[in-house]
Amino acid sequence: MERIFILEAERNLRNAITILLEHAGYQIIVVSNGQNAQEQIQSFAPDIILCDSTLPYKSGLDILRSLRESTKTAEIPFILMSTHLSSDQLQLAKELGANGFLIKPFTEEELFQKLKSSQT
Amino acid sequence: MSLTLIAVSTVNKIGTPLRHTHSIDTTTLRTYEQHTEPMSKPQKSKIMSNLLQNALLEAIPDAIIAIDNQLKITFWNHAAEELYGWSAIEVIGQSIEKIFDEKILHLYQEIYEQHLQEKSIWRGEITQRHKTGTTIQVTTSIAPIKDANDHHIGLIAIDRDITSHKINEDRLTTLSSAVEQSPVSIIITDTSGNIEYVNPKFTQLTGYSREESIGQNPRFLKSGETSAAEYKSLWQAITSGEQWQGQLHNRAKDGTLFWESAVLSPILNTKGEITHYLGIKEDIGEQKQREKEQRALLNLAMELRAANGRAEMIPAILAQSVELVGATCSAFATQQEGTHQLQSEVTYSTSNTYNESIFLLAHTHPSTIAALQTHIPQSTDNLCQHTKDTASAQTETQFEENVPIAMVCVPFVAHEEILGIIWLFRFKSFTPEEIRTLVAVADMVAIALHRAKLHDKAARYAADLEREVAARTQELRAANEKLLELDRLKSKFVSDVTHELRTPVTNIGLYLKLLERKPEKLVEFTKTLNEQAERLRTLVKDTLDLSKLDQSKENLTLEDVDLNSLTESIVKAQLARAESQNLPLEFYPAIDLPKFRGDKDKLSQVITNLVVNALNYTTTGHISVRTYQEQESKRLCIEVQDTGCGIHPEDLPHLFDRFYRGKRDQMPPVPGTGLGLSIVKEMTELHRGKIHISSQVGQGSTFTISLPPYMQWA
Repeated sequence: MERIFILEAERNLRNAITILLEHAGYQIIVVSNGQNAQEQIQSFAPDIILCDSTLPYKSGLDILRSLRESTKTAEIPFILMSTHLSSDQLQLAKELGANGFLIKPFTEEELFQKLKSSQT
Repeated sequence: MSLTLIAVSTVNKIGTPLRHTHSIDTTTLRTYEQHTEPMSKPQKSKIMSNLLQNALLEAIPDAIIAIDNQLKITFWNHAAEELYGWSAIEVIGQSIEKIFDEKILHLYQEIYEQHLQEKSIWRGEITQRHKTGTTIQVTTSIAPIKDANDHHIGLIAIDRDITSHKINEDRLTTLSSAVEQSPVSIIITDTSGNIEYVNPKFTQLTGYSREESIGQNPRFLKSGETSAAEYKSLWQAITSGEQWQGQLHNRAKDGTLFWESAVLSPILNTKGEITHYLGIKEDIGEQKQREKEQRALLNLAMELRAANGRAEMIPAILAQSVELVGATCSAFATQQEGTHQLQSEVTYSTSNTYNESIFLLAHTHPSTIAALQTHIPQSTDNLCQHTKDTASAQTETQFEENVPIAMVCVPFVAHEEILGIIWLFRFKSFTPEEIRTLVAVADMVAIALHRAKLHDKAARYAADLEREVAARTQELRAANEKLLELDRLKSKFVSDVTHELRTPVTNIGLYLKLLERKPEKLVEFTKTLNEQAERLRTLVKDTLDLSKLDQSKENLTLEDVDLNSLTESIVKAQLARAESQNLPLEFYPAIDLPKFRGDKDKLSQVITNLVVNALNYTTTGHISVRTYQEQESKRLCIEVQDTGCGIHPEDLPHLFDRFYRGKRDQMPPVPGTGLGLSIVKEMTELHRGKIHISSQVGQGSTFTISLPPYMQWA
């Protein structure tokens, strides 16, 4: 069973994604901020990370950067969720090694498609 | 009777009366008459006596001529031969007119017939003729010759040559009149320097009459302008017998100074001793004046050319004009536009003789008025005379010395326009030559002033234009920046709004999918869907409020607002929610709170947002709302105090930013769009109010709105 680590600050969205993915058979861990993300991800060792770009304490890109710096987490697929990304941010995210992007508003189909494509 | 013997008395000198004439009997001394018969002893002795007399007459240095009644020459002495060139042999027996001319004949006839009837002797100066034809000036004394019976038998004439004397005299007369009429002034002093003679030119030049000057030492003319060393070298030169030549600056009787070029030399007698000093002085005042004029004109031209604008020209014009005519002071004035009244701009004075009042007099003087009308310089000999006639008693006292002050008003006219005038003042009247010179100056100055005016105008236009362009550029830049800023804000606003919309829209989509998957959770998911819809609604409403504020900041609906009752109604409306959160919500109205003139709806929104905010961020404790009037400033205040989470210092600067929701994770999550406080701020500022926040993390926050009292809306 695939394990997904979700970082999302907005309660309702977090709940919706969790319910949808659990329903689809994923094992889910959810956090609402980036405070201890690195440690949590390291101990959970997810197959995919789904992370919002705007989080309290630490931004999605900062989390991605620290993940890629550690050998234990460097290879974990990372999908960045965002309401809006500037071209600079997009470029930076690609350089840091983001595997996919989910721009809000997104649909259930888009969510699953990104999860699939990021794994291959 | 054919022979006449002439006897001459013992005359020693010409000039003493010839009292005695002795008639000599019919014996000739030098005659061609024949005396052939033998002579007796008495006769011999008589002859001896005659010979003696003859020798005497011959020895006399004056020419002695005797004639008989027929005006024939009977005697001609040696001196006569020398004087007239004729020998006795040639003339004896000849008629007088043959020797001299008819004039003499007539004169002798006249003397003989008329004069000698009464008087015994005639004296006078006559012109005779030399044998060669040249004229000889002689003094002649003519006396009758009488016989024993007192009958006239002839005349005797004693002539003394005065030709050379006469020539000398004429020369002296000529010299004298040359000196008298000399165009240069001549002065003769004795060896101690006392004046013995001055010529009329001296009198004319110095103003001192001959009587006043004689006996004076020439130093009475000293002006003090010529150095002592100069005088010393002068005296050294002339006392050692040399000539001195130089220029002296002297003072005339009327006080005016004048220049003269002087040649001073000692007059030596035949022994080489100094007997007098001679001074020949030429008035070089005019020459000096011309030099001065030329210098002043040249300087003026140079200064006008070098001057940087009108302001620099005027002092130069004044200074050089003063120099030109030797004025004591001057002023430059211009006509005020519209009124044509004269206004002094710059005054220039070489002494402190004058005060402001002289310029005031000049302003209204007829000469000034005439100069302004005729556009040519006008002068007056006595400025103060006019004052006496017209000015007030107060002004009069300032000129009690009654010094005649001459004034000339010179207008500077270019293209029929008076660009200014100057007044020049001095003691001496202005001469027509000076005025002509001033006309030339005026032309030169007018052209320069005109040029300066054009230049100033052009410079002013250029400066104006530059300023205008700079101002416009600045305005445009500011406007552009403002537009750019507005554009940026708009973009940000749109971006912010869409950002805020994206999450609820995502949620709505996902929850609808969830409903499909898990229909059993209908109630739970519907509640979430409603929340999301409500969030969208609030977002749209707040966004509209803000955009309205942007569009129509001035569109306030003004009325007198009772802040107490307004606040109370808002508090009441939120009581239910407060109760649901178990939060006491209290209102403490101020007594006698004045009404505030403002937009009630907008004020209502401000207070509502603050109260709702307090409810949003407070979980335990209480919320109190109060109104009060500040004692000193009299400002009207509404205060909302909570015991909520407080505001972190790093959030304070962004508190009023649109969509700012704080940097921290909100647990539990706080509802709201992030627009509430920015709406509060903008609406408060529309009412010229201020917001004050005091907050402590974990303790709570107090928001205070203070509104200006007696609000005067324009």
